[in-house]
Amino acid sequence: MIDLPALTRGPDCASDLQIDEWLGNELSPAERERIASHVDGCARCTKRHLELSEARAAFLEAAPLPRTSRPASRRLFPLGLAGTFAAAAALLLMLRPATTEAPGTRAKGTARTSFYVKRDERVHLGHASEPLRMGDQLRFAYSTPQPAYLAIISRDATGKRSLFYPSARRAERVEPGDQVLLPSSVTLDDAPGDEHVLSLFCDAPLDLTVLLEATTPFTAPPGCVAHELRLTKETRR
Amino acid sequence: MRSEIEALYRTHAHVVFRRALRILRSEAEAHEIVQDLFLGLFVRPEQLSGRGTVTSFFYAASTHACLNRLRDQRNRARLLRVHARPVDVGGAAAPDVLSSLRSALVRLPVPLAEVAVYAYFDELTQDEISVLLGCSRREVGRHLERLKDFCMREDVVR
Repeated sequence: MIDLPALTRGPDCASDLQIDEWLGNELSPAERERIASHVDGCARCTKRHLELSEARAAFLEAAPLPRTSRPASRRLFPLGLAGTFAAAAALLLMLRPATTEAPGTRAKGTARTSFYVKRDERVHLGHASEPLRMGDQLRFAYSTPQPAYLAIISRDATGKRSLFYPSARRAERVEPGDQVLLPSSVTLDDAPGDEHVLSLFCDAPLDLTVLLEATTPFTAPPGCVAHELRLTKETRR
Repeated sequence: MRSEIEALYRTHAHVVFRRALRILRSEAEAHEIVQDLFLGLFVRPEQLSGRGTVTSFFYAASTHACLNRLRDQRNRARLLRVHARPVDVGGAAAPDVLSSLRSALVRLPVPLAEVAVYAYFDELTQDEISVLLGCSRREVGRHLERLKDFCMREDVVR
């Protein structure tokens, strides 16, 4: 007899399919809201969402483009086959994400970031108003309905600016998705006061050098939409 | 055009890889499944024109591809022998229990094998499985009962 495994997912919990569709920005606004609300309050689903997000990030780090380890005759993107470009054009039409918002709804402006907090080996979805501590590790996730060039910059209470994402001083392209984990994390230092975090979703790969200079205003430059987070650091007694 | 295909790869290839790895227990085989699926899409993009989300398409396509690979006589013994020690890929059921069910996949009729993957590897709801299989929820329930009967009768592969 083969023992069928007991299911680990509760009746209200999100399935892997739903989480994958959420990460792929394929849920309707109502479904997205319902699942996000459940995940926020469910330890099992928060953990599973994190696992799937990390698996996505890890896969793309290891294989950012399709592998071409096969013989040339079986390369994934064969060259010199004009017909395949017509096929790719047809694919383009089918790749348009399902329209889940009413006509006339602004898609731009809904780009945002959220973050996970790791403290004492436990991870939870962070909230802007929760007191954070020195040593807390933060891992950011982004949501955007369309491709954009993303950068995350923080400014502490002393005015010092730090680049959280990406590692190079140029905004990096991200694909549409919901709650997509970024590959790196940051550790909060002991600088007192709050952190002002600015997530920039830009139309082009913005050079961040100027913005990181202390004298420029800490606002979104032209061609970028900003999402702001204020992180509160707990005052130690 | 190529950038659109690469965008699709960036948003969905991880789903294919993760599920293929869970079913086949081999990173090399899972990467080949990813390559095969995306090459197939490049040549025949009309595959995406069915109902459902792009994600659900990749769930169904990767399940078919993995089950076909398991059934390949040349690969089956190698996969089951070489990967007898489970690799923990996280998520649903404990690896050792999935191992015996995985061994049974090659002996199950096609709809039951698919249902086994969706119900026990992915832990999907019956409604979700009915969309992926293109059948009624009632039919999914009947498949699940047949699957349980099959598992009651079969011996664990050693």
